[in-house]
Formats: sequence, C-alpha cells, structure tokens
Amino acid sequence: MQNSLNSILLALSFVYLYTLISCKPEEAQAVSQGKYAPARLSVLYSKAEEYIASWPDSLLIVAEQIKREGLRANNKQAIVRGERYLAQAKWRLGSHKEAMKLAIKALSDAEKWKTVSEIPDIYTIIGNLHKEKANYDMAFASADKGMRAAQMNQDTMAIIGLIRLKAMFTQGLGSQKKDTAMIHRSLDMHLEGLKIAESSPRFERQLTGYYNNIAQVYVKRDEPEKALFYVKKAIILANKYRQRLSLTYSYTWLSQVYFKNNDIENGTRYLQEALRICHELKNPFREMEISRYLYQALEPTGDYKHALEAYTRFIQIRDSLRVLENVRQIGELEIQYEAEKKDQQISALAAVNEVKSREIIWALVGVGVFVILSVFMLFQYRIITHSNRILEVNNQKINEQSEKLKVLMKELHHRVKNNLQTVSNLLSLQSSRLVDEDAKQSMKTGQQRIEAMSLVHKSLYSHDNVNMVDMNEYVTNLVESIMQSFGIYEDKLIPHINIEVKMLDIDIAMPIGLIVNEWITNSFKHAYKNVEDPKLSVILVEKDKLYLEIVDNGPGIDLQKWEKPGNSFGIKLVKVLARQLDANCRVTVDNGTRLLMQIPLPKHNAAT
Amino acid sequence: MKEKKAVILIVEDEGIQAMGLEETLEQAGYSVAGVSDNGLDVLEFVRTGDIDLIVMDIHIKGDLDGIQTARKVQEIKPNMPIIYLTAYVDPETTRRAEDTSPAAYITKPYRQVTLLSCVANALQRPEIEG
Repeated sequence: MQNSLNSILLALSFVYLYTLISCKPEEAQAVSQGKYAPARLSVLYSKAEEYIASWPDSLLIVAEQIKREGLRANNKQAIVRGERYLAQAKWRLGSHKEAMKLAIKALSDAEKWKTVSEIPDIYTIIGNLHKEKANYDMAFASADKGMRAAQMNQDTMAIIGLIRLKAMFTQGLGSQKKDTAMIHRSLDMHLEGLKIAESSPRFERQLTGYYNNIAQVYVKRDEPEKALFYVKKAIILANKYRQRLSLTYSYTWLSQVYFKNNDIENGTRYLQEALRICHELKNPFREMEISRYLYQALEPTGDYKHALEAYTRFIQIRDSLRVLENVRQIGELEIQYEAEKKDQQISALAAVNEVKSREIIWALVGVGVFVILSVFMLFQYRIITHSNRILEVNNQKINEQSEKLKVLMKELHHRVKNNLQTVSNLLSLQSSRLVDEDAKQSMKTGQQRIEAMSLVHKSLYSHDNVNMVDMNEYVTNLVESIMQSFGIYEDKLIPHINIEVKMLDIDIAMPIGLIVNEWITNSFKHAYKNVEDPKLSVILVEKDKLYLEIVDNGPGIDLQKWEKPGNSFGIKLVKVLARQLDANCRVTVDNGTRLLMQIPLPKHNAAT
Repeated sequence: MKEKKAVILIVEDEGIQAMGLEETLEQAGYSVAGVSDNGLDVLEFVRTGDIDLIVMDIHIKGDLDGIQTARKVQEIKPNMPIIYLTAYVDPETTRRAEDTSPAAYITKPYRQVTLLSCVANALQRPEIEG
C-alpha cells in the first residue's frame, strides 16, 4: 500500500516537473498579451466591436471596462485594446484631440509591450483623424505604418482595412484637388481590396465600408447606376451587422444617387435619415458633413429655410469642433509623439552606439596592441634575421678561415715533408762520399729515420684532417720503405701488416712510426742474416689501450742488451720513445723476437 | 782538486730532443741530473736533488707548463737559474716567461753554441742575496 502511494506521488511529481519545465515563458507572455483572453474580456471585446459601428457612448464605457480588466490582470493586450477603443470612441464622438492623445498612448504602449496585433487598428484611427482634418500627408503616412505592421503580423483583416483606408484617402485627396486620375486610382484600390474582402465570409463585416466607398467614387464619377448597385449592398450589410455609422454613409451616397436622378425628395429624405442617425450616435463630424450635403442639395431647390437650417447646423458644428485648430494640434500631437519616439530611439541608438563605441575603442586598443606587438615582433624578427645573417657571414668566414688553415696546414706538412726529403737527400749525398762502411751505414740509418718522419707528414698532407695520421697507410709505406732501403722485396718477404687503428694523432703516430722504424730496421740488420724464409709481422690494435706488436723469426734479440742498451742507440731510442708514450714495453724471445707495447690512449685521441 | 760539475736538469717531453740535449750538455762537461717531462717531477727533483740549473721546455706534460713550473721552483729555490728552451715565440708566452726572470730564453731550433754559452753564463751569475 505504502509502495503504491509512493509510486503515485512520484509519478505526480514527474508530471508537475514536466509541466513546469515545458511551460514556456512565451506562453505566459502570450496570456499577458491577451492571446488567450479570459471569458470576461472576450465578452467585452464582442460588445466593443458591436458598439464601434453605432454607439460611441457605449463604446466609451466598454473601453474603460476593458482597460480596467487589463490593468487588474496585467493583461497588456487588454490595456492597449481598451485604449484603442477609447480613442475610437472619442473619435466617433468628435473629440479629435482627445482621440489622438489616446491613440498615441495606445500606440506607445503597444510598441513598448509588443502587442503588435493592435498597431494596425491604432494607425487606422490616427490616419482617419488626420484625414478628417484634410491632413492627407499625415493620413497616408499613418496608413503606411499601419500597413507595414499588418503585413508583419500577417493580419489579413487589418490589411483589408488599411487598403480601404488608403483608397479612401486617395479618393479624398483626389476630391480635394479635383484630380480625377486620383479618384480613378482610388477606385482601382478599392476594387483590389474588395476582391480580398469578398474572398472569405470572415471579412464580410468589412465589405460595408468598401461598398460605401466604391459607391461614393461612382457618385463622384457621375455613374449613379453603379453607385446604386454598391450602396444597396452596403445598406444590406450595414443593417445586418448594425453598422449604423456605415448606414449614414450609405444613405448619403444613396441620396446623391437620387439627386443625380433629380429625385430631390428621396435624396433629402435619406440625408435627413442619416442626420438623425448621426445625432443618435452623437457623431458631430458626420452630422456636420451630412448637414453640408443637405444644404448643398436644398439650396438649388429654393427651399431656403431648410437649406439655411442645414447650413447653420453645419457652421455651428464646424465651429464647435474648432476644426482648423484641431488640425494643427492633432498634427502636433502625433508629431510630438513621433519626435519623442525618435528621441527614445536616438537615445537607445546612442546607448548602443556608446556600447559599440566602447567596443570599437577596445577593439582599436586590441588592434593597437596587436599592431605594436606585431611591430615589436617584426622588429625582433628583423634583429634576429640580421643577427642570423651576421652569424651566417661569420660562420662562413670561420669556415673559410678553417679551410684556409687546413690548406695552410697541408701546405706546411707538404713543405716539412719536402724539407725532410731534402735532408734525407743531403744525407744520402754525404753518405755516398764516405768511404767508411760504418759511417755509411749510420748515414743510411739516419736517412731512414728521417724517411719515417717524412712519411708522417706525407700522410697528413694527403688527408683532410691535418692532425691525424692514417696508420694503415703510414705503417705499410714505412715497412715498404725500410724493405726497399735494404733491397728486400716481396719475392723474399711478405710482411704481415694488420693495422686495426684507423687514425692516430700525430703526437702518437710519430713516436710509434719511429719505434716501428727502429725495430724493423734492427730486424733487417740483424734478424734475417741467416733466415731462409724471413717473416715479419706488425700489428697495431686498439682495445682499452693501443697494442703494438712486432714479431720476426730471427735468432732473437739479446735481452741483456735490451735491459741495458749501452751504446745501442736504436734500443735507447725505442725506450725513450716508449717513455714518451708512457708505454709499457715487453720483449720476449721465442723462435724470434717479439716486441709488445701497451700504449695508453690519450683523452683527445680521435682514433676510430 | 777536481771542480765539481754543474748539475743540470733537463725538462723536455720530446724524448729525442731530450736525448740530444743530454748529449750536448754531457759532451760540454756538464752532468745531467735527469730528464723530466712534467712539472711535478721537476719540483721533486728540485726539493730532493742538488740541481744547479734547469733547462726548461715550456710545452710539457701535466697541468703545469714550463713557466708555471718555473714559478713553483722559485718558491722553493729563488736563485735557481732557469733557461727556457722552447718553440714558442709569441709575445704573450715570452712576456709570461720574462716575468719569471729566466737566465735565458732560447727558441728552437737552437744552435748548440748558443745553448752552451747561455748555460755557462747562467752558472757564473753571482747569487743574489735575499
């Protein structure tokens, strides 16, 4: 049981929430704007529409009720409608100035509260007020504004009404100017509007006005038959919808038809009937107009008494209405309203402009900052580019200088090589003049040492890296040079040369070269004297250190001599050079002599 | 009475050049205390040995070059004559070397007679009383 109750409550909560969420603010606004008028208001609206055509006094009362109801319910549409009806009532009662004030108030409220459906009717009232004062410029302007509003609202009923209004104004102006073309144009406009009005029974009420106006045009064009055709239709509808004011117009045009047909009696009769209705309607303006028609009709007949009565009535009503002054004041009222509206618009625009100006200023500031930043960055870019260019130039200069240095170094090595070669040649030349064989041998040995040094420079000259010696090339050339100096060629001895170290710094390569030169020279001098198949092995590898191994298959060196060189310059030289290299030397004798040197690698060596 | 031979220390990291120097000096009648190729060994020689003159190459092994070694030697023995025998001829090196008030500054390649006359001259220089 409890669970069922909870379920029901939960479901109701969801429904409530859904309703709350789904109730759009626009709907609330629509209620406020009277789209869904409560029942009471609907009744009042119907009464008002009934009274518009005939009973302006009653319309006044109903209009006040509608406005009060609107204020009570905060129904903006009702308030504006009430104001409109009030304006209309005042207009019908001849209080044109008051009518204009009320109409402008209604217009202002309609625009403020966006009750746009009221705007065409309000402009209709205003236009009519201007027209009745023969202020056609203002009348047309109001009709145009009303038409624009009706078109925006897609309010066909209002459009029909405003077409007729403009057609009527055109006719009125044409009559005033005695411009028949304008009168013809107004007929065309009326007929166009009539087509739309006759297209649906919904617009039947509005046909009365059209028929009356068209009848009036045909009267002006002196076509009484056509005028009669339309005026009869107007009378039928006016009686059907109790449009008593329209009836006065119908009777007026009917009387004109009679007058055209020289039926003064009927013509007069209908004018007096129209006059009576106007008096009941308390519509002095219509009374004034009809009095004028009556005077114009009676005066030619010689009925001066009634003609004078009609004329007097016309003057009195005209003076009481203070027509001329009202024209100016009514015009001023609307102009004032329009001016105020314009001022408001200007203020609003000014406010918008101010906001926009501020935005523009900020935007300009932003643009300014952006421009400054851009300029700064451009400046920085140019500085950087300039610096880069300078760096590039400097790099190029450095590269060029480096290349020049390389070239110079190569040239230097070349010259050193050549100079050493010159020294070697000098020694050779000197040697050839010696008689003593020992002396000759010493010269030759010295020559070979110089050759060993010269080959280093030859290798340096041959490569791009002017500090590094290609050990494979160097040792191979050195061994060949030594063999040649001893007249030993490959038919007798093929040396095993295994140089796994590619490049060595000159400071290491030179001493190694001199050591190799000394040891191999010693081997050729002493080791191979009685060896049929001489063998020689030179190995240079790199592991944690450089390992230099030279092996021959001679009888073997005197190890005591190695330990204590005495006068042996060659062994002394090897030891000195080994010491220079911080090398560890070990000499063993086993079917030949084996020299093994362990040479520490310097940090800067770029041997690969 | 046999005149005591002057004892000269050779500071040279090129072995062959050191050999040549040693032979030249010995043939000239000098005693060579030894050949050193770095500044620390030189200081050890000076502290422990009886050295009369040092023939110093400037470019040697180790953290001290010949000029720095000479300064250190003068801290130990201010009157020790030092002859620079070097390939460096740039103004900066010669200025640094001059600051140590050497007995001579000989550039390579040198002539034996130049070296020997500088050695003789240095050894005959009276001791400066400190």
